Amino acid sequence: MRLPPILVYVLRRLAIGLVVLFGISAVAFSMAYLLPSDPVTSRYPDITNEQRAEMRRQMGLDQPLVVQYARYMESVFRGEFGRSFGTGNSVVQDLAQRIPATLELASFGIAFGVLVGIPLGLVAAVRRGKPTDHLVRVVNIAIQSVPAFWLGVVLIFLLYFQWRLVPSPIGRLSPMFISPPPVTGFLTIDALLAGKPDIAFAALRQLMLPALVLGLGVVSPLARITRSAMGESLGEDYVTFGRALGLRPRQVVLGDAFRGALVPIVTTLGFVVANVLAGAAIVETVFAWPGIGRYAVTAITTSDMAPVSTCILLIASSVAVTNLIVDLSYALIDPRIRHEYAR
Amino acid sequence: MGEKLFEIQNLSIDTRRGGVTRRIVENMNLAVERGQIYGLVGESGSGKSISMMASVGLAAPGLLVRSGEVGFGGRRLPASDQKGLRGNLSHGVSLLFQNAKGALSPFLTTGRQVERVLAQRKVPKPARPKEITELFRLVGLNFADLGEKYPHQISGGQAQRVAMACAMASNPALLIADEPTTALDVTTERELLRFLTRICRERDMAIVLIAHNLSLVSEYCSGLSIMHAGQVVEEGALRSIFATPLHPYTKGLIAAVPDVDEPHELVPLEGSVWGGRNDIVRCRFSHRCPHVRARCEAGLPPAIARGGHQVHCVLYEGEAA
Repeated sequence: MRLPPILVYVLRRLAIGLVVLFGISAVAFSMAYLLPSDPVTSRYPDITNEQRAEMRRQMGLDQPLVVQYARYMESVFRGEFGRSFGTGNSVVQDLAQRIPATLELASFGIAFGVLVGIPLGLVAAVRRGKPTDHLVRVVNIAIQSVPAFWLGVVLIFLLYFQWRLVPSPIGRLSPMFISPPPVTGFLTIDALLAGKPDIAFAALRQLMLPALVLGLGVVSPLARITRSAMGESLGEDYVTFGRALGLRPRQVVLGDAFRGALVPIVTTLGFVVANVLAGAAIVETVFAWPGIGRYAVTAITTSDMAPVSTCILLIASSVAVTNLIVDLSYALIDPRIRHEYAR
Repeated sequence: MGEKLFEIQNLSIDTRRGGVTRRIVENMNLAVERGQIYGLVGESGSGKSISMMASVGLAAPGLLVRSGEVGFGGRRLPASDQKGLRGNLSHGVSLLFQNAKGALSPFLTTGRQVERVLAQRKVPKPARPKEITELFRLVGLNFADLGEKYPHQISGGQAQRVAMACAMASNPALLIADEPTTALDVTTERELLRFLTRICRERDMAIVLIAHNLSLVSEYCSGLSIMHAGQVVEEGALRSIFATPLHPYTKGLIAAVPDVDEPHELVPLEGSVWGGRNDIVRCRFSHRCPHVRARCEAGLPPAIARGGHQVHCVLYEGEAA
């Protein structure tokens, strides 16, 4: 049986991704155990040494690291990622609650970053060397030099404490509202599906500020790559020829030149998504957002090993999947790459 | 004399780099009649492409169009109105470039590229397939074979024909072909030029053929302008120029063309294109001219009619035509 070449490509990439995840799991596991704190001591600070030794034996912590890793991997393959000491729930259960929160935050943040960053870059490229271009550069530098944790706190201080323009930063939805029945896990969408626009609006108001802070980190890398990639593709012969054929400027600039610039833009977007997942930990902590970032930070500070290694695995796999999607999207963008993959 | 279709008058273009302004096209004139194939010949960097691109509103960013007027089909515009001049594109003026593979959009099939020019011309959708097939046939291609292919899947010669089909889709009265065959092998080059000239006759289309190969131009053109370092040195009927070349540069060029029928010793032209400062107004061939004299310092004289054409050279000043 012959599989279509593109499918072979995807399967090969997935196989490589699996190997990478194995490596990451080993690193994540040993990192968790290299931490100077001891999970038993941090859970039960007042027990005797005998009790501690007994606890360690029960938890398998007295075994060599390799054995512990083998046991851990065995349970991972059974779909068991262990239990969190902190919440008392299984890690899978905890994550199922928290992933939608992070996904909703990240989606709105990235959407904001894309919708602002790419047009900024486009305008700068078309108006290269003109005042607009310089203005965009200044805005970019300004955005880039402001760290998210600082901006988050300042915005909360100004917009909430001082001016009361946004609701208090207490997570996804004010307790005054009842959460809609989960369908997509996105509160804004679920509320609309449940026919409760007021709840959707309330959820959106909660989401606005953290998404803005998270999304600002996306704006300048995207604006910069869009400007430089567009600058290059606007000089391509096919753009000049398109103009010479009397095609509308919009068709030439947005159709051909932008498409020519899209491969580096999408590549950058892939990197940026990884950064957003990392940045989510900070933003979620500042805004008391009940997502995986905050979950991971709490777990690390309490030496809660199972959530830590699972969160690392989860973030690593999402980065791997993002990269695969980025590589596959090249084929959609550029027929030359499509035919290259199909070979 | 036929009806005048396209005319450039007193076109001057500057470039500024690092605070230094250079004149790269000086006081250029050019006139093409309806249906005429006109050659514009010069060495690389002589300003032939730059002047023609500026005449259709596609002057590269950073170039400064200082003066001049462009007339096309009864409409006259100042050359500095680049946006207005671009209005001529798809309304009677089309272009072909040297690098056809790079000139076609890599993201669309060849058929789609032709189609969008038709769409631009507001050809209704149902009428397009027939017209696309017809355009492919016109340039000697089979739509069924190539219409669904992308530019990277076809040869350079085929790409130039697809580009021709795109250019012809707007049904132009004037085609500016900027070294359309330079990237092709000699056989494909001949074939393509034969096609161009045939289309030109069939459709009563004029062509400005930009080239650095004088012998190639001599086979297809009836009118000719010789450019050197941004200045047109000799212009007019091709026969007359070849029969009695007047400007020392033209003489040098023709002496350097090999002739199979009457072999003669090829004489290379000494020196290279003017690279000096442009605030000096003198004839830019003077530094390599065997007949240089003091008068050359004052600049290129206005056109002097002599024989069947015109020359810009002090050697012929005051002589009777």
